[in-house]
Amino acid sequence: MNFSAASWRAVASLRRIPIRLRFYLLAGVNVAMVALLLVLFSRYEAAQENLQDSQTRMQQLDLTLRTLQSDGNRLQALIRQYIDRPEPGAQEAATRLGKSLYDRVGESAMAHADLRGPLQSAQAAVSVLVSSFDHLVTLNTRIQTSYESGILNTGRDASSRFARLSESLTGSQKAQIAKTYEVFVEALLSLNAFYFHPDTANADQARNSLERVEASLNLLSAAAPAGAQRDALLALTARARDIDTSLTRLEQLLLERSGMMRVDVGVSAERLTAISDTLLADNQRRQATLREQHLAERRGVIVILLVLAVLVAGLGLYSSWLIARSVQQPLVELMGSVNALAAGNLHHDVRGADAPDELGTLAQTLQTLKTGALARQQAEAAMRLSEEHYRNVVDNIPETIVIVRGDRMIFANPRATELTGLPTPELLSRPFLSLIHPDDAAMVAERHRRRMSGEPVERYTQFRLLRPGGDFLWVESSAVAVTWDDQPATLAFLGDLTERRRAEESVRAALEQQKELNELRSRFIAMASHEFRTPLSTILSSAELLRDYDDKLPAAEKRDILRGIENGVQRMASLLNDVLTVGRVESGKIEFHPARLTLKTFCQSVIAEVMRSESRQGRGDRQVNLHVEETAAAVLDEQLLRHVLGNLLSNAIKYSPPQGGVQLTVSALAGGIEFTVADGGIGIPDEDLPHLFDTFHRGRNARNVPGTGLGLAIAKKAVEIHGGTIAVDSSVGKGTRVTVTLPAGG
Amino acid sequence: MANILVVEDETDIRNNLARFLRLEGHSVVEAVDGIDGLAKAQSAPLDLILCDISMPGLNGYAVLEKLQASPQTCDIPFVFVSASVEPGKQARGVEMGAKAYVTKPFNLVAMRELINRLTQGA
Repeated sequence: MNFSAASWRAVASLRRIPIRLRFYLLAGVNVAMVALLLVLFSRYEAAQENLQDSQTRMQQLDLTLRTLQSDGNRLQALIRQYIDRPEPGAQEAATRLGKSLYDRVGESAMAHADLRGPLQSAQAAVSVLVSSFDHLVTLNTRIQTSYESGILNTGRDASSRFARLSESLTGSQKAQIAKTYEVFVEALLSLNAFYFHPDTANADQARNSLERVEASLNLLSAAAPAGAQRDALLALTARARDIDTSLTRLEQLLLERSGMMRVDVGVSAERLTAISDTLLADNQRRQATLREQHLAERRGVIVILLVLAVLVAGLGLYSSWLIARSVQQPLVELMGSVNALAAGNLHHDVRGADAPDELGTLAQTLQTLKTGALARQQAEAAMRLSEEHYRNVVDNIPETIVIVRGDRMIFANPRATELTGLPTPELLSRPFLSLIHPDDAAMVAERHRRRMSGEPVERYTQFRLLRPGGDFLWVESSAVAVTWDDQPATLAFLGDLTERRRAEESVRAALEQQKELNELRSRFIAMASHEFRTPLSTILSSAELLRDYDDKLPAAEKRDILRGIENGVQRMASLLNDVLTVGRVESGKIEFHPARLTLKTFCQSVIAEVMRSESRQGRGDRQVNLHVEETAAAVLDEQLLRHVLGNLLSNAIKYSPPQGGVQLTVSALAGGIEFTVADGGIGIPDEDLPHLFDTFHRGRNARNVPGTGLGLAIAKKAVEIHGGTIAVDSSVGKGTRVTVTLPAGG
Repeated sequence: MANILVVEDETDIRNNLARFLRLEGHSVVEAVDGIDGLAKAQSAPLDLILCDISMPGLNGYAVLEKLQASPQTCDIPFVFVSASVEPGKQARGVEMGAKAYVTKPFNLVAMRELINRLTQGA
């Protein structure tokens, strides 16, 4: 297993622990690391201390030993000093030092088990030395005592005896005593000298002197009479002898002392010195060795500690790193995911949702949020699409949709601007009633009020919208009550009624026209029926008369009656023709056969035919004046033209008074022929002029005049087939002028 | 033997009707239109008036109205003779006070009967 795999697995394991605990773990690891390091450091410190202690101990030991050595030396010195000058101070000091040294060596021996042996030996040596010294001191005391009592006191005593004796003596004895005393004093001096410098020369001298004194005294005493003097001399001599004895004793003591000094003290002092030197040397060696050892140990300890410290630190840092990583890595990943999602990339794959720790939970939550956001995004997209659809519908509906809440519009689709002429912001800012024609406003407001309060109300309302230009527009609103943002409102479709009204108008007009047409047709039928019935009546009555009153009727009357039948038949035939022609005209089946036409002749024949027909109807007295330009010639359909002119002429005659003349004028134009029929008849009302050429139309003022209303319609059609125009100029009471313009043809 | 006024603008029909009435033994006054008819109605005592409806100028209805307005002529039996066969017209005519409404073409037998009925006693 390599490092990174191990790390990865460690991290994975770590992630099973909650992060909070992980941080405690981290803290713990770090604390442990620090603690361990501290421990290591303390171990190092301890080792150092140990070393230091050991060294200190060594040094202390060394010091102690040195102290002991120096004290030993000082003791020896003190002893020697004392030996040299046995003063109580020196003795005391030496004794004190000896005791303290003994104690301290004993302490050291106790303290340093490894040196106990030598130290105890040292202690023994000190003890011996001290006891030797004690002996020496005792001896000194004895010597001193001996000297003082044996010699000094005796000497003083002797001196005083000498003095007394000398007093008691005279002359030569006195001089002898004085001389003896001098020698005595010399002896004392020598003794003193011997006491302080106990060498044999002084002893000998002293002895010598004493012997002389003794001798002298013996002489004296031998020579002296018995008595006080002699007693005194004997006493003196005794004293001298005592002193001698003391000297001897002193000599012995001094010898003893010297021996003691040499042997007991010297030897033990030497011994002590040797021991202490050895100790010191050993110690030094040991110290050195120990220092080496310790240094080596220390190095070893340092190395170990360092290694351990590195390990501990390494482990600690590694653990810390793992723990940190166990948080940081998923956190970074999560941050990446969050950023990606925040940036809008909702298809980013959120990883780590299966991890057992809080970040795993977080990743899961993020995943859920993402899914939610994605779903929401899709829902939003769907909704946007749906909204787009609806908006598409609403915006493109060719209807105006508004929502009214309160007294004004809160929504108006784009078409509203087209309808009202106002931009949307303005539309929404004005009270909606201000847009309505004042005459309609009350009704609209009332219906609105009823709708808002829930009362039943008409769904469709027609009213006028006021437009900015001041004009108004008829609209129809289809309104329902709705809820908009939790408040009651009205949703209304406004439709421009103009078209519809126009359509209605045109339908009405068409219906009117149809009605009129039907009326006209009915009238035509009535009229046709009437027109047919009239000649039929003539024929029937004529036939019946002939049948029933044949014998009673003169031949002339019979001929009249028969002519009546003929007229009737012709009239019916003509009418039938007209009807059939109209039918053909209506179905476009008129045939066009243009031919060269001599207009004058043609017009004359047309006039003749019309007059024939009119005279049959009792209007034979009318006049038609013809004026034709000679040069006028054209290529035209004779039959059609006959229809046209015949119709125009018969109209002119029919609607004119008897005395009024009718004028037919034919003139040539550039590329065409102009036919004009003018009369001074009843004229045509202005309102009928546009409908003149409509089939079945009859002027309002021509109701009582028999006619089918077909003639002009046929005429117009005929003119159109020629490619020409027909125009009417007329006014009521003043007559009529009809102008037909036809291309010359050819 | 009655005095009958015939008001009819169609010449042939007027002639035939006049002929028929004369052959029946009645005396006939002919008028060519409404105005003419009114004038002739005032001029002589009449027992019956036969009047067309659709005529130029005054139509038959107007003529009847005018006749009814005048005490001289209001009692004269009045008959419409017309080519219009609309039921409304017939009813109107009768409502106005006409004694009968004859539609063209009329047959002479029926006409004879009608006239005899209306002129009984004349």
